[in-house]
Amino acid sequence: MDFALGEEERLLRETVRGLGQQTVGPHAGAWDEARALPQTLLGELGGLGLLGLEVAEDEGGAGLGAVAACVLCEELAAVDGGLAQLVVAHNHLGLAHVGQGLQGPARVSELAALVGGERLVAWALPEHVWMPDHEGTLGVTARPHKDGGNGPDADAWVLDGAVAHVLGAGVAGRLVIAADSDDGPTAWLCDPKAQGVTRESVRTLGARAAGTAHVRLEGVVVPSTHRLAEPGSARRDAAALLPRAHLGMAAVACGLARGSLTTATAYAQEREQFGKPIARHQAIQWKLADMGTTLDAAWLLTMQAAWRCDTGRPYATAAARARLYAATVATRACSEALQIHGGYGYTREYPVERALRDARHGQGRHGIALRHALCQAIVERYGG
Amino acid sequence: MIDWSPNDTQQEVAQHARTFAAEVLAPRAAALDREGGFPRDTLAQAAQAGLCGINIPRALGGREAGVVAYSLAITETARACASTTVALCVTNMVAEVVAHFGTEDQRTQWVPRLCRGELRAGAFALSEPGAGSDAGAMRTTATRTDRGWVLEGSKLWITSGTDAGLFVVWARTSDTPGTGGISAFLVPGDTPGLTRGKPEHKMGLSGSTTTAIDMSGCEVGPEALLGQEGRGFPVAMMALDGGRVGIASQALGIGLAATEAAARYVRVHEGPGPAWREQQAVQWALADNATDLDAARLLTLRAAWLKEQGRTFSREASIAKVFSTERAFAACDRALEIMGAAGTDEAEGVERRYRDVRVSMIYEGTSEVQRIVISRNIMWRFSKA
Repeated sequence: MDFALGEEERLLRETVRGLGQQTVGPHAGAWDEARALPQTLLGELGGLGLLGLEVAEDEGGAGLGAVAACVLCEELAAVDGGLAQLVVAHNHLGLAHVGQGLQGPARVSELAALVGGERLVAWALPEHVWMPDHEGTLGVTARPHKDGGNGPDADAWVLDGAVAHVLGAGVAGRLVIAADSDDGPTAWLCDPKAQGVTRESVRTLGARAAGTAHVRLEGVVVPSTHRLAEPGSARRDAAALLPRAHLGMAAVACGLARGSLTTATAYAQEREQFGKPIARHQAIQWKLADMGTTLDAAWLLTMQAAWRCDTGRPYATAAARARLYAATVATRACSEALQIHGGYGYTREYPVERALRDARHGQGRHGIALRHALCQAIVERYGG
Repeated sequence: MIDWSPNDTQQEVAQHARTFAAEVLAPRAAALDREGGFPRDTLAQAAQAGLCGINIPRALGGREAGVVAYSLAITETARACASTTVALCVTNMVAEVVAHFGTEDQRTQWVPRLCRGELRAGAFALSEPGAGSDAGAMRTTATRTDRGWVLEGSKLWITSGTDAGLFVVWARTSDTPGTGGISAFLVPGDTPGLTRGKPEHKMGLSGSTTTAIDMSGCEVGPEALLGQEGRGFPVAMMALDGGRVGIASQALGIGLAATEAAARYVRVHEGPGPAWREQQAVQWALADNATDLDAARLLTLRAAWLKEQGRTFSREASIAKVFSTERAFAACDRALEIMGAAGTDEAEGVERRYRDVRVSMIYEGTSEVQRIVISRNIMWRFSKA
């Protein structure tokens, strides 16, 4: 048994910590305010491998395992939880779907652009695909493009429909769209600038710079070269991505909690009321102690799930458990950090209110979905 | 004899506030939040509707409807717009404090104008950069001169600080340590030497303003002293105790609004698989919200009733405030959980409630301060038995 990170992971973490403290942290509040990210940031993230965390090195990615990827996402989330959520969605939903499904000549150029920071990819599947055994439609339908003739649009498909609240859709240069068709649910990689695609940006509680948008598709022609995997496999492929995304979001939650704990501890030592630093009042000490304890537990659950993933063990249940717990811990810790800051915490001068919004935003409705999944696992394991 | 039903006046005020909230506040609340700034129009209309002096004698221009009616009305307005409501709460409390502690001249000079909305808003200036929960650490001074008093110092977290026409300012008038040497003053907003700070950029309640004020050579006449010299702290305690009933009522209204939105959402949302309304995860969350908020309502109305009866209500106000604000925040959190992505979407209104309600655990005394008040009171009571 070994709880220590490896040398490579520690070095990577130092690098991302530097980026976080110099390039991201000082501006995260302004990006949140502007509800936009600077284009140059993507290049920097791409340069450090953060936009191709688990893509193989010979395809331009960082070729990291889940432990290392979680360490980096946690680090980023400690200064900007919204950006970290965008990075997780890009890596573990959109990019992972492309990586496992896109074949042929398009693969090389598409992967290079997504990994290098030229553009991001958003995973435009409806929210309910996160629910186990969901029966809802995908919101989009696909039909063969009859007018394609023999030109480049031969074998093309036409997409119609809408998907609400897609994280990253407003800033992404590619969208993964899953559509119901006569061949079954099938996924495509789309250009959001293609004719017939409209994106309506949504003002959100948190992750405000991450470009959440409603996506509408009206007669959008997608070439078969950009189909992801075989027709009919989209639901299965999508479901397979969820555990890894849960793991990434667990790491983000841990980072949000750690960032808030760091800010709150510094503030509590500095701020004096009733003749002493508030860090010496039990009301505050208890909060800090509980924040620290639950954060450690959340991080260990996350790392254990990541280790299971890296060592080829089943990890879906562990990832779901890590996310459920870490997300709750993060929202709670960020709220307590805000409380420790008093009125100052409610202002945007301090990062804790943004962390609370980002943490609650990332939690979404997943408490319900994750408990469903966890209960199924418990019944399988402990049931008669 | 116990009677839970509101009397005619209370019912009438609550109904009036509900109609006002639905017709005037609700349609503008989202835009107010988005655009930021002081809720000038909605507050002015609230004054016209008689909502700025609910617990103020009729002779002074108020509605004289009592504290319970006040609490019911605040809950109704907060369901629609928490930003306007916080300015409304403070204006009501400033009017009450002047009506209670003021001389006849002070009462007739200020209270009717507060009730009519002529001063735009009333404001309390108590907190300072180094004196938040610890009000005894206050540094602002008031020095007696031939012509009255000169105020020097800085105040923080003043609701409606951008627009208030009247500030109640607390300052030290002697070197007595702690709270003994503190006096309260009525300082008109246009007094030379009083400078209003820029509005704070906040997580929520964005349609209300919160500012600092600086006082430098700020001269007021002898008639500015509110209550006796050196007896300013009891004025603050009355303002805070009464204020806590208001904030408990406000948080309750916000929690109810989020719960109602979540209930509407699950009613119309079939969802994938079983409809949301048939899922226990959703049913339990709504049941917990309803239970928490019902208890909050009873605790809040009990504190309001005690105050109305002229009985001590400090502990009960703190209990109502800590319970109502924390449970209302939890209720908004559960509403978000039920609604998922829609909950985090500004267009649905629940994310605004989540942001708005969070400060209620901080202002008018943090939850930590309420627990200090409650525990001290309990220890004192039970040490005498």
